[in-house]
Amino acid sequence: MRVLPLLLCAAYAAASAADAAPGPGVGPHESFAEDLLVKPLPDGRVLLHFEFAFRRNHTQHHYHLFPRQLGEIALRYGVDELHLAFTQGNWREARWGHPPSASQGVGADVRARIAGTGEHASRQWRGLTNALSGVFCASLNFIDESNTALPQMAFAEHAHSRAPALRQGYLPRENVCTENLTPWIKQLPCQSRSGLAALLNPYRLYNMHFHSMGMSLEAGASHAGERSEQAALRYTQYLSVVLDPRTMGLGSRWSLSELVGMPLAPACPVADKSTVRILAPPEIDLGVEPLPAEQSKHLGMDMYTFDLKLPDTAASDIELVFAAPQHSESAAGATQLPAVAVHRHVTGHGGSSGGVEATIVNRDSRDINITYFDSLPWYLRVYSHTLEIHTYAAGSDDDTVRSGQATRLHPTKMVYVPAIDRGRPSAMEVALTLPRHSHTVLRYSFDKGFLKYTEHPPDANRGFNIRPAIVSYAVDSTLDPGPLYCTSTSGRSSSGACIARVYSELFLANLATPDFSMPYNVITFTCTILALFFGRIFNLLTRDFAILDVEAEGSKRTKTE
Amino acid sequence: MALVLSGQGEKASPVLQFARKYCAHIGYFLGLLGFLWLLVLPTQSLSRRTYLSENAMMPGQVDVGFGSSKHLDAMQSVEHHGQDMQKVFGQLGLDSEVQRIDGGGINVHGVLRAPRSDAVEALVVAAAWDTRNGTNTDAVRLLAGLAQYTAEQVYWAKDIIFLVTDSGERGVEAWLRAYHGEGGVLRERSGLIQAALALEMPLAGAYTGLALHFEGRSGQLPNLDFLNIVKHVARQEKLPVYYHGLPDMPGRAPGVEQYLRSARLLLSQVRAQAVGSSVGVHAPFLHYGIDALTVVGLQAGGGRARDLVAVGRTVEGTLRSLNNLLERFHQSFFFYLLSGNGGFSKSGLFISIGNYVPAAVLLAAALMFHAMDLWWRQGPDVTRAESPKDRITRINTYHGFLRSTLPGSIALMVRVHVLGALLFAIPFVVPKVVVSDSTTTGYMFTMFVASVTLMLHLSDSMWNPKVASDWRQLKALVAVYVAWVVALLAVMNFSLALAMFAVVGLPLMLTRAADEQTRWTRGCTLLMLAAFSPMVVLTAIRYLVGSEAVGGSSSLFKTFLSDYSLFGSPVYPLVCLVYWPVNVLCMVIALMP
Repeated sequence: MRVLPLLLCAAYAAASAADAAPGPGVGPHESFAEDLLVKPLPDGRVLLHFEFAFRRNHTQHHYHLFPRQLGEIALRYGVDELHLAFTQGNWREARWGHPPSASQGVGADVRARIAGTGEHASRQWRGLTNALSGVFCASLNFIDESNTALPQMAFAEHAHSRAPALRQGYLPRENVCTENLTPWIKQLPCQSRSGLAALLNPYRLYNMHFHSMGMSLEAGASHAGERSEQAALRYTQYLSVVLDPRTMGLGSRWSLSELVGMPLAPACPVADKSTVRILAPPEIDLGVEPLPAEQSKHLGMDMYTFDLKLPDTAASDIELVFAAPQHSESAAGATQLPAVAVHRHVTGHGGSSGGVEATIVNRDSRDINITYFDSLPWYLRVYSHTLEIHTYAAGSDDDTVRSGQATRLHPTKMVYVPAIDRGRPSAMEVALTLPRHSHTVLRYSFDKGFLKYTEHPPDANRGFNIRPAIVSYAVDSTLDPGPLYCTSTSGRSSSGACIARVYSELFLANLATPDFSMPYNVITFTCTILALFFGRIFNLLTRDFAILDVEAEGSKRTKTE
Repeated sequence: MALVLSGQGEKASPVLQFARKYCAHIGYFLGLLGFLWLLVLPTQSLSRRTYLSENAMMPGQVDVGFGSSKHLDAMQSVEHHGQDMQKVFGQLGLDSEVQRIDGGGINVHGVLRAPRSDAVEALVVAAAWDTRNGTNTDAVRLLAGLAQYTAEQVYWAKDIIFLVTDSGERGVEAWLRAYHGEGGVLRERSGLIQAALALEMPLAGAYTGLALHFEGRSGQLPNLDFLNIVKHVARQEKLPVYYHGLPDMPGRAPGVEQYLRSARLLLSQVRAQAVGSSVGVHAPFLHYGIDALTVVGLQAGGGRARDLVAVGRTVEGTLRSLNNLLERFHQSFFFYLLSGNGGFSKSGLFISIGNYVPAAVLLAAALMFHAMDLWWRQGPDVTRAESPKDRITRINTYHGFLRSTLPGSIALMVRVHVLGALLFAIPFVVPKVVVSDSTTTGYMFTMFVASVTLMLHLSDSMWNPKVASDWRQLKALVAVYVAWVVALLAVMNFSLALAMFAVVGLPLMLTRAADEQTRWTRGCTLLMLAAFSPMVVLTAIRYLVGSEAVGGSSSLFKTFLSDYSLFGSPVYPLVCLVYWPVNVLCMVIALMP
């Protein structure tokens, strides 16, 4: 019986040895890096963007750091590429600039490329969403063919020619909560015990203005140093959150641990890299204490990088000092706004028909090629012939729009997949060239379908959340530094240009809703009416009246007119 | 054939024979019953206490926080009438925009984006710079304070839109049209609007209570829960809420007094529903299916006066409660008449649709029975013969009579209605000429002369012996038509149905009520019909009652016309397509042989 403690001791010794020399200890086929980016926003709020990146050699079947759960799911369902994001709150690009992650639409967004075709791939996709649903404690199992779109142009940049079709499932009504965060943290090698994940304090994370949590899994090209023929598997978990220090009672000087309500823990021992980066936009006068060894320029902003692997920074806290008083709400938005913004609204009122109006803004001084992708559920029956695209110069007010200065814009390419009732959603992809400094308005109408009695969700009178439209465009890095995710390796497409994606708002589709207590009343009432009146009326309408000749009665009966 | 036979009483069941005999009496009896039913409504024996149907609203269960110095400062930032509100909203951190309205005027709105919500729903707080009773700067001031307050809070699940207009209802209508993508441009938008609250605060600084106005232009009503919330929340701020601003009697009033008060409140609602409300800027919202009401500060009456902050806290409490709205309003009543304020308690008195609509149905049924009676009595009056041969000839004669008269009667109705449609269309063909104030009177006079000429011409042709006609048949057809209109309206707008019965159905029943007509009674009937004609009624209301009581602008006709073209109110089409033609037809009936 003495063997067990001995064994435990040995295991502990081995583990601490691994801690002492992390990088090489885990073997060359897996690596892990953690990074936290802190970016004060122009309106006084702060963006925290956590990123945990794993790399893994595809050929190895042994899991050490890489979450085995996800690795096996990817293998089992033949996943080439997988993106998953849970988001709450709208990213306000006019105030905050570029979003930190590529997926920023409210709700749950799942995208995957699954090997195989036809029925097989659909089955695999269903299996994948069900498996993910179990892993992340989310209702992803509600993703089926009726809310899965297969965009052909909007996400084409990663695909090589032989890549399988991309499927995008979207649950616009999915709420994000700690029950999703816990399994998300569980995938990390140090969980929340050390490293940056220790800062993930749910009490603060969910008292926020924007929250996006996700992961992406893709086969990426290897680093130049590695054997280039061997494909590597890249897995990234990220969490972005916008907090308001003012609501937490923090003034013009606060530390990171005060903001998240957790002390800064030492780096995760198995991480190859563990950094905290503070990004100061030029419009904010920001001091950082203590000053780190590494200061650089990033995306045209000052960047202070703290390496948590160094023993001295690990112990201390990072303080941010704002020289100017915290900007009030009225402060103008970010100086560097994204080139493209999209807003989508539902038009019309009443329960029978409506329309969609999407406004795409081009703030850039050059023409931009974009792809607009919008997928509506089958019960909004889109009339594709009603699609109208008009563009007018930015800054022109209502009067010029009315007087017909708006010009018609013709799509360079358009793919429209009509919906099938209870089968698949419609999908509209429009490739456009936006003129410089312009507003482009897309309008199209739909009829609202009738749902069966049982097809209404709980709280039926609220209506249906409709997933956002997505506009994707290539960022010209010479003019616009681009969003954060463009600088990480995963954002780049094979050609090198970064594809930025802008998600519109959701909208609420109000369908005609039955009074769910009414059918019984209606049935009884209608039946009574029918029983009482139908017979009489029918009788009166169909009876042929004849006059009897009374004189001849008894001997013979004749019919007269 | 069945039509002919039943008309001549052949093969009729005993029930039908009984009905034939007493049809006229049943008709008058039902009419009387309907009238009595209306008289019973104010006795409150058919009323129930209002209650909150949607429990999720939880009004008055939160600590209200409006009234800090910061909020008062924000209120002070609105210094003068017609100020640049975009700047004010901008300073509060709202996304604001100015909308220029066709035909002058601007709307300014600011959107408070709810943090971390999916921003698919929105609430609106609206105020106009000017109201009927003068400047409304205090309401705009309150709006700014509320915007400051709401911007500080993080618990909003819906975006809140603050709207200030300088063109009253026209401005709000233009804003809503742009918001729903039906004309005009609006960039700062939010999601589906779930509820709207309009504020109207007379310049006083102290209020003894709040008045609620809630009727839409076509008689639409907001959900009863919305009214209940405001009443509930205001009570906590010690502000009594009076429907239509009609205060209760202090203490226990005698029965007669109570009956009269209740009747006054009901009449005020019926009037507002029938012709469209004129108080507050909430009405256009109802047109877009958004529950909306106007809160007006009251100064008259007894009781302790409360300041603007108390009103602000009431609005805050209402917004907090609306914020809890998980689905759109659907739980409580959309059709109701409020019969009492219920004193200072948290619930008022209301009559649900099941209890008031029978009155209109009885009146429509009275017309129907009247028509039936006339139909059976039409044609050559031949005594019932026992000989079968005679019966056959009698039935054939009757058949021939129907064949020769029915097309004529229907054609006459169609002709008059075509003229009504023409009347309806004229203002849209020559819009500017007719809509101006001075020409309206001229237009109505022309209309009057036209209808008299038409009536004389039509009835003159009836005296021609070659033209087969029977006034009973025509009256029966018209009565069926009017009964149908009244019954149909009763489903949508009870008050309008009552009004239609009063000006159309009642004169029709009285026309040639007695079978035999002398020169004297004929003259009286014509006078009565002239008194009930649209021109006389509209003019009389304008000069006797005062048009402010009903419409607003100086000419009722003009009000109806603009209500129709701006807000889709059904009154103008009804006047042109039902009221006027039926009135002319009644005169023709009176003059027929």
